[in-house]
Amino acid sequence: MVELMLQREAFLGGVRRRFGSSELIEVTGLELVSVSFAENRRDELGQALQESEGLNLPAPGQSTVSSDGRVKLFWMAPDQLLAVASENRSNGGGFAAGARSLSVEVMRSLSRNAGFYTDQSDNWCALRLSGIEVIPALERICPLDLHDSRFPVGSVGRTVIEHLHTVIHRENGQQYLLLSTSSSAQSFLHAIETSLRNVTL
Amino acid sequence: MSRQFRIGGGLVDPGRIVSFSFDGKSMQGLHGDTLASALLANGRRLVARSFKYHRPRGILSDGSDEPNALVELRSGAHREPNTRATVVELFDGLEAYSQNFRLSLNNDLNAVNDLLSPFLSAGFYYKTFMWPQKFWERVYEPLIRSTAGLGSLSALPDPDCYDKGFLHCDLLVVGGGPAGLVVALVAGRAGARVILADEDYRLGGRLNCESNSIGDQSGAAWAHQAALELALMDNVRLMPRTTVYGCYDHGIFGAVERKTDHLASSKRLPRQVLWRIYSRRSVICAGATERSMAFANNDRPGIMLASAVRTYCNRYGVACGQNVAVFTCNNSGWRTAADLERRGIRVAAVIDTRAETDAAPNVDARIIRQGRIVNTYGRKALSSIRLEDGERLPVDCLAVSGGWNPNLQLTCHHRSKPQWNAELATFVPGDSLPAGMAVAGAAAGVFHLGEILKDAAVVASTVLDELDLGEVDLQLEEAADTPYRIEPLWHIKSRRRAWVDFQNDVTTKDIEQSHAEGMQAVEHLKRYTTLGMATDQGKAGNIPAIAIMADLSGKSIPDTGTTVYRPPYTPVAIGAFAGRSRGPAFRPVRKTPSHRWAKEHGAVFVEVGAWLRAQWYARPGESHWRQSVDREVKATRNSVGVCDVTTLGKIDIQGAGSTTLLNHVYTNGFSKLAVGKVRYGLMLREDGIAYDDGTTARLGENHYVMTTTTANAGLVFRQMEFVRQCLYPDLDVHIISTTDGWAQFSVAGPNSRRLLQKVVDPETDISNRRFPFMGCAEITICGGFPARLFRISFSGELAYEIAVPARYGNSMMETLIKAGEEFEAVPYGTEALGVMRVEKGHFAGNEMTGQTTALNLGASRMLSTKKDFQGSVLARRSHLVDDNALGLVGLRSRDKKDVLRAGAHLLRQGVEPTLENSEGWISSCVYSPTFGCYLGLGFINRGHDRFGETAVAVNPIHKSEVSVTICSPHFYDPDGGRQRG
Amino acid sequence: MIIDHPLLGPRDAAEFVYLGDASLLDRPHWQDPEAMGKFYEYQYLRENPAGELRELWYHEQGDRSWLVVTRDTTTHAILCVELAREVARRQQVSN
Repeated sequence: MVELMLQREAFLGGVRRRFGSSELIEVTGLELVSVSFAENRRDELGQALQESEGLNLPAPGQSTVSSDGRVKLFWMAPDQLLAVASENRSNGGGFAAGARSLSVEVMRSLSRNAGFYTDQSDNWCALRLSGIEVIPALERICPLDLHDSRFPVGSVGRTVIEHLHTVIHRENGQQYLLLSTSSSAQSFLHAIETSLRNVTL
Repeated sequence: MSRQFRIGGGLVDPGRIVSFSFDGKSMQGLHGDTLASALLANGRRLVARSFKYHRPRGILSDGSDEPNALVELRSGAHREPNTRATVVELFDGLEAYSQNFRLSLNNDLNAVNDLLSPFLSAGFYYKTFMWPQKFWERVYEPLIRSTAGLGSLSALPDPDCYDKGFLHCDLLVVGGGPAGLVVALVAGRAGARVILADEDYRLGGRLNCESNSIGDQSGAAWAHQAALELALMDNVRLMPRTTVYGCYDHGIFGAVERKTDHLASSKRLPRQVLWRIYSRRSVICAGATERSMAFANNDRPGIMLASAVRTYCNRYGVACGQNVAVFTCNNSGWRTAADLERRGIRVAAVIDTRAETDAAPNVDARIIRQGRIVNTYGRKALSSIRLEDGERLPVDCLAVSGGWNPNLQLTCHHRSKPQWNAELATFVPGDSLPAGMAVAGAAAGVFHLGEILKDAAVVASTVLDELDLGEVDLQLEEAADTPYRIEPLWHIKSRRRAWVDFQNDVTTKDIEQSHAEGMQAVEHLKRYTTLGMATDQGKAGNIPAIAIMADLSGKSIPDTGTTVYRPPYTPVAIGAFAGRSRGPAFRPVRKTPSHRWAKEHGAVFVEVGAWLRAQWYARPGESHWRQSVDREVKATRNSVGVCDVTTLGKIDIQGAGSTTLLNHVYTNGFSKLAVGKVRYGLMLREDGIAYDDGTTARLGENHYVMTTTTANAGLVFRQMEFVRQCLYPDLDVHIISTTDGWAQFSVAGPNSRRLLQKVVDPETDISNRRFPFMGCAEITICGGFPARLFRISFSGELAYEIAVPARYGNSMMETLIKAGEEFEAVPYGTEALGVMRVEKGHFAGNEMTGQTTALNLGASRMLSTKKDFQGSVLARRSHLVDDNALGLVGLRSRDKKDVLRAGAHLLRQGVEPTLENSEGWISSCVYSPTFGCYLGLGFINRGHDRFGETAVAVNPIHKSEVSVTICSPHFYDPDGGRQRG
Repeated sequence: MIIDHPLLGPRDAAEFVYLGDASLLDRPHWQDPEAMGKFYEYQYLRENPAGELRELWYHEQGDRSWLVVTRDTTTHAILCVELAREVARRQQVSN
């Protein structure tokens, strides 16, 4: 029997770039689990997650964080959330270190099966943008209103950026996490980089 | 620089000299000049030749309404024709060229057209160039092409890049003149999110051009101060050099911002940005534009708009002439005389058409009341004018004021019509404006500066109220102004030509001719004479033309009406609309997880929608694609092949209602599909036409994974969400796309099981007994990596599809080929995939054309009679279940050497090859290395009953007629023994 | 155009896909004695008014909700936007 091993590759090779005083990096260590629920079991799900993780269910356009800061829930649709966490062995930032891995099985048991889980970790590629050039760059490609009054810290939006479906999350002040479908990762990177380049003097 | 024309003062910087060239001649200007003001400062009068008659033309105006002074800027690939010299910001090294002449601007050979003018009047092209017919292509068309148009393109790709963007605001203020500045100040101070856009590089509008004061400041100084205050507000975004060109639905506006046109080099930054501005409210403060009057030979270089003459004097410190006359029918023209006199420029006379001129400013110049100009002289530069009484007055510049037109275009982009204001003798915005829009200042027909400031403050207050923002008390200073009085004079009748549309060379004679020939409605007038159809969109000429037509028709001006206003307000470069959609960035590219491996191994890629898929893998020595494809087919059928099939849609379906959903979208039943099994499903559209197909695997009690075709992945998902949310709103079922998340590979061939046994962890027994055909399971491979295995076959061989999380995809391809080395495993692409599926007789996209039914495809037995499903009822429409209906068949050339092609028609033997005799067509065709000949799938009437018959495949394009045998489409292993083994 | 999503607020129509008349919510019953005629009408016949129309839009580039939008086809004014699921529920209950 031949020793066969599989290598995991980042969709964008862990790219890291600077534009002016802003930074763009690929976040490679995210675990993403889609959580869908029947409307009549929504409260049950909410309660279960609250008890086990200190996680509230987010309102439309919002995200919530677990009490230990390791897991976020993004509102994706009226009956769908996206759980976002750093992997155990990840080097991605944004969450507290030593995050417990959130696999589908774990989520299922945490919520006492009040929901349906689908792993989405490989469906999306993730870019983190931070710095003063970020908003001017996003203005070039993102139709959402990202003004403080409309998109405060914690907000989550789903929209289309250069023909690509994108989830955008404001992590803090000038820092944003963008998710887009993994097969078009390079086109997505190109769109973001072109925007940053176009506004960097 | 000519001392005689540079009089100093204004808003230009005498300390910063700018060098530029015009028609190759070096000249100098000052920082702050436009190309037009610099040309005038250098005494340049002749700057262009008119469109049709090639008459010498000079600068007419001072803004984006300029019809004459169109130049070509820059050189090489950056060359841009038809640029208005009046809005070009002068920069060091600017190169400009006049256009539309043959030989030279000064000696234009095409000026002969002017002599031919009687033959070139309105609609001449409908009446000429018709005989003899053969002259059209050889003589007339090339001649017209060489003379038509203004300016020429470089024909090189545009080297600049452009960008687009999205902006949100509470209030969009269009125009940064006195009204716009007041509105922005009020709204800005109240905390509204404001965007203030102006075409000019400097805010202030006409305050920068007139000699009015606001309080004890000059208008220009007041504007400068207001702009500074606005620039310091975080909630206000100032956008100079930005034209708001269109008003769209729901407060959306289109604007183009010129980022680098005023610089010598764009330094690779986007030259222009096309903005989509979302506003809750908008105030149009676009000001007004002056119009001329139509009189004999009113188009000579040196005849300018009166307001422009004083702009050049006040803002640019340039005298447009040394002996200037004013010709006006209203009070505002007098301001030019007053301003020029104050700066020491000689005013020969103020010729007013009216009898009474009270409230006009005081001037020293000679005043001629009830004056009419009947002719002008000086072909390349105005030298004199003749008055009605015969007097000939030497002048080198004539400042004409026919009145002012509010710039109300944006208010009419939603098809509202403006209304006629008789007192102002112009059109003002109509009653029904686009939602959320208000108008203030001159654009609303308020022409007195003091009134403009007050009007703007009131409008701003109302808007703030509507936005639920607090009140702001703006301390407005007093501003004096000349009261506006006008007695419109549209044209002075003459047997000589009098111009109405300068750019398209349309005269009053053309309007008269249009009227005489029955083209009296304004929309007909426009198209018959081409009036208003030039790049200036009739800003100068439309209203006089309407007035003249009204006069001819005996109708009032409001009854004659205006033509429809459409975006863009001024021309926008196509590059700006394209933005980044050029070249490879035109649209996103989707790559499969094994793309890199494929590229490294000789893959040639094909576009399948947005995806790039390996079409075949060329080995060294293979020079023709058939060599690769034939090899891949043979190797797969003989041993094993691996193909990346990630692109097929994958939809994860969970919930107690999953089976119900599947039963609704698929024609066949899924209630009895056991866990661990896969079933093929057919999907129809609601109208009964075959839509999509795929396999659905049941991984758990309430968990399925459905596959779709690559092309329809998004559409099927959309349809399923429709079924879920709209037809079964209470069903407990949830779907999500996992197409990108799983890298999926087809492993096919007699050695496929052996290959996979090296990869699949020993816990999973994939022997034929334990893992039979159409089975599925969640497994682990390579020592614990998660994977899914499906035993399905598209090729007809023993085959599986194995899926791993996408980030392992590239590595998985490598691993499978490595594990397959002992079996000489080959990677295969979409061509080999296609050959094998045709050999097996599976229908695919070529057969599901959007017009074929399950019956046509030979899949009638898949239509359940026991349940409802999408398309169930309409599929049974009589004409779809007709006895003569098309049936899917296999086709084989009778002579192995014959080439068959998809698209060929199928006809009975011995009939004439006409369309009427066509009974079907070949939908898919491949060369089969397995059978050593061409094989086709196709449709023919009553196909199922005609196996064994000989037909003829007729291909008129390739001029071939090939005898074919009609047979079952399942050429290869029709009993399915190989895939079940 | 801007569509005011009931949960997410105003969004550019470019995020959506247009399907057609909201009458598509009233899918006839397959075993109705007049099923063929009713499905024919359901699939092909439309009022097509110059005025208010209830339409189905799909938020493909957003939250993937189907919406029922009441829009004036002559002025593009949007008068009402609802989640199609809720409209469907109401209609099914009343049927």
